[in-house]
Formats: sequence, C-alpha cells, structure tokens
Amino acid sequence: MPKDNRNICESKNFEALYNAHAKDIRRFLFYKTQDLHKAEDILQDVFIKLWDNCSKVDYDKVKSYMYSIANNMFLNEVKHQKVAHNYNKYNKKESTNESPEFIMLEKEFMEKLESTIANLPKKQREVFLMNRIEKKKYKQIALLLDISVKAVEKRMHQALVVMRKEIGNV
Amino acid sequence: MENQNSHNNEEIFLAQWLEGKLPDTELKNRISKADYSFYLKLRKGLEVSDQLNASNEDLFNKIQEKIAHKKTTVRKLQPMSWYIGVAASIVLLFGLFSILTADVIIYETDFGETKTISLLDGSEVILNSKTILTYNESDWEESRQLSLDGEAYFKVEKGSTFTLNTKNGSVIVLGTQFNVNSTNDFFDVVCFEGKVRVKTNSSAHILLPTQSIRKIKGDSSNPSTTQLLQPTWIDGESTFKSVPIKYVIIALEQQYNIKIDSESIDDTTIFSGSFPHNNLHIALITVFDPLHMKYNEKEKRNIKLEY
Repeated sequence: MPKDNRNICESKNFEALYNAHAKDIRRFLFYKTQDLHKAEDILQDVFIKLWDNCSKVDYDKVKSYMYSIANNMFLNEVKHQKVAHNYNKYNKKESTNESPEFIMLEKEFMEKLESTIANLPKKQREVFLMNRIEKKKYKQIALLLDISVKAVEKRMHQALVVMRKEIGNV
Repeated sequence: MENQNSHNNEEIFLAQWLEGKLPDTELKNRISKADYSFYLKLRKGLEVSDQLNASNEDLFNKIQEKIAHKKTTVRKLQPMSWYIGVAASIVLLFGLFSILTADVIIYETDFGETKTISLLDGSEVILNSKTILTYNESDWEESRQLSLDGEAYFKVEKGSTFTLNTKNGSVIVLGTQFNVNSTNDFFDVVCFEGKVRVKTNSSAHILLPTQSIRKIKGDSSNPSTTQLLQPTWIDGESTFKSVPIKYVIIALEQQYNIKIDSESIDDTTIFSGSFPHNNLHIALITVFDPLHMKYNEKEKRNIKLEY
C-alpha cells in the first residue's frame, strides 16, 4: 500500500504535484507551441491524464512521466495541425507570410531576459519590478519612492538599454 | 518640433514607449532597424514572462472541474465510495462492464500518419501508418502486454517483462529499442538496442543489436542484420531490404491512401530500396522504375501496374 504522501490519487498530493510542476511544464510547452493558450490547454490535459492514471504511475517517476506526456501531446497536436512553423526556427519566412507580427520567443532568449532583469543595477531593478510585477504606473512608483516621474522614466529607459546590450542579437 | 521632442525625452523615450505613451511607428523612426526588432521582441518577451510567472491557480480549478465532469468508469475507488451501500453495488455491476472494456486502450493511425505514444511506465512507441496498438491498462504493472497490427518502433523502459503480441508471432523484451512490422503475413523484427526474444509458431530467436528476423507467410524465418541506428520510417522514409514487392505495395497503400492493382505483375519480385513519405510521384518512381514496372493512374488514387 503506498504511503499517504506518495499516493497520487489523494487529492492533496495531486494538488501538491500541480503546485510543484505545473508552471515549469507550462513554460516547457510554451517554448514548443509559442502559444500560451495552447500550452495551457495541453497542460490541463497532462494533469487530467495524470489523474486518470494516478494509481499506476510511479511516484518517483512522476515528473518525467508528465514531461513525456506533455511532449507527446504536443507532437500529436502538431502532426494533427500540420503547423510546422511553431517549432521550426528557420522557417521564419513562412510565418511572416501568414502573420507578419509573429515573434518567436526561444527558451534561450527568455532565460537571458529573466536573468538580465535579476542582475539589473539596484535602482533600475526596483523600478522595473514595481512596474512589471506589481503593475504600478510610473506616477505611482514616483510617489512611493519619493522621486520625480522623470527619474522613474530615466531608470526604466536605462534598464531597457541594458537589456538591449546584454541580451544582444535577436 | 522633432528636435525639441528628442531633446526633451532622449533619456526616457523607451520608458514612454513601453508604457504605451509613444507609438511603435515613432519608436521605429528614432532607432535602428535592429534595435527596433529587438525592442518589439523584448516587449513581447516581457508580457509572456509575466504570464509564465503568474499564478496558475485558476487553471487548477479548471482541471478539477474537468475531472469532476468526466464520465469515466468507477475505476479509482477511493475508500469513501465503498460506503455508498446499495448504490455502489449497482454502479459496480454496471461499471464492471465498462471497466472491462474501458481499460483496454487502443491507438490507431490513419493513412500517412505516424503517432508517438507514452506508455504508463515511460516506455515510448512510435506508430507508422495504418497501425493499431492495443493494451490493457489495468494489467500493466504486473505484465506489460500489448497487441500490434502494423508497424511500430519501441523504446521500452526497464521493468517487468514486456510482451508484444502480433498475428505472426510475439516479441518479448526486458528493456530495449526495436522495430516490429507485422502487416498481413509479413513479420519483421529488428533489434536496435538491448536484447529481444522473438517467438513465432515455428521458431524462437534471440536478437542482439543490429540483428533482425523476418518471416513471410509459412516460410521459415530469415535472419539478417541492419546498419541503421533506428528505422528510417521515423524520419519520413520507408526502407526495404530484399522484400517481395507485394509488401512494399501494401506499405505504399498505407502511407498514401491509394489502391494499387498488381494483378498484371509478379508480386513476388524482390525489391531493395526506399520511398519517401511526402511525395507520391517520387515514391512510385523509385519503387517501380528499377523493377521495370509501369504504373498508370487510371482514376484518382487508383494505380494499375503492368510491364
């Protein structure tokens, strides 16, 4: 009989697995699909499948099981849709014919982006995070930090320039 | 006017643009093409990054709803449900029928389709066109048994004995990579990694990597070897080594959804070669030209072979 905290069919354990892995799997699926909605649809199917098979999946292998399911669902979706351009980086001209604004966000780019933000000079990072994560407007940030709006804008602008330099070529 | 603007916001225009106070077209005019492309990508990257880092609690609620609404069988009986007395036994009787049938999983591919499947233990199977794979989920842990009609490439995780049953024979492995083709009376197993035991009703063999065994109809089994690291059909090309054209014709039909009339030719002629999966015209040329057979598309998707 499996120990209580290793029984995936227990809803609290299932939820714990979701909290531990869902974001990463969603990210993994986004890099493949380049479409957040599709990634979330497949993510739901992955966890539903995990639930359906909860009594048969080895708890120690659950992470690789889920990634394997996610990858296969993605591959089957692609074959079904015949949408080659979503994961073929070198086929940009096809995507620009159909949707001129399509911009591909590769894993490397996104990782570089996130690490550059984390390493911004303190003043710039503070303003940047307040704007992006706390969703504060420049005016609010100015009030909170007791500086002028222009000073806030300067720091944001500089942060973007740093990112241009650090993240380099598209 | 523009000079005044640039003098005023030279140090802040990117911030204004990101906030939406400066239109894209104006930004485009102020900076290089490369910089503009970068900042567009950066802006999208920032939006996506926010979404990827955002909470996905709502999504979990959706998942729970879907699970609750699924009309599945009474398979995962949590201790609680046993206490639902009479209702449970009725549901059980009704459910038993659906359990017995629902636990059998069937995977099927269409003409020209390949599918990759994950089994419960992490084993992976890639199915070629017009192939059917079935297995029983509830027995999976104790004995990994599947049935195959068609062609598939297997990557089996180490574990309990894995048995693949086909009309023409069975393949038993412990953990390995191999290809099985059981189409009509053509049976061909190639071992790429590990050890594979093959049993037909007239013989038994053990295959090591690069070894293969082939049995056609009632003939005795024919051993052979391969130079490949994995079957070619996975990459979109079917390869045949000394195979009667009859079976190549079936493979063409299954890949392209066509009907080939081979009455006027000798279908036991041996063929060695390959055909691509994405171009019927080239496929027909590469298969039939070397054998000096002419093909004629009499009607759509109907091909007649003659000399």
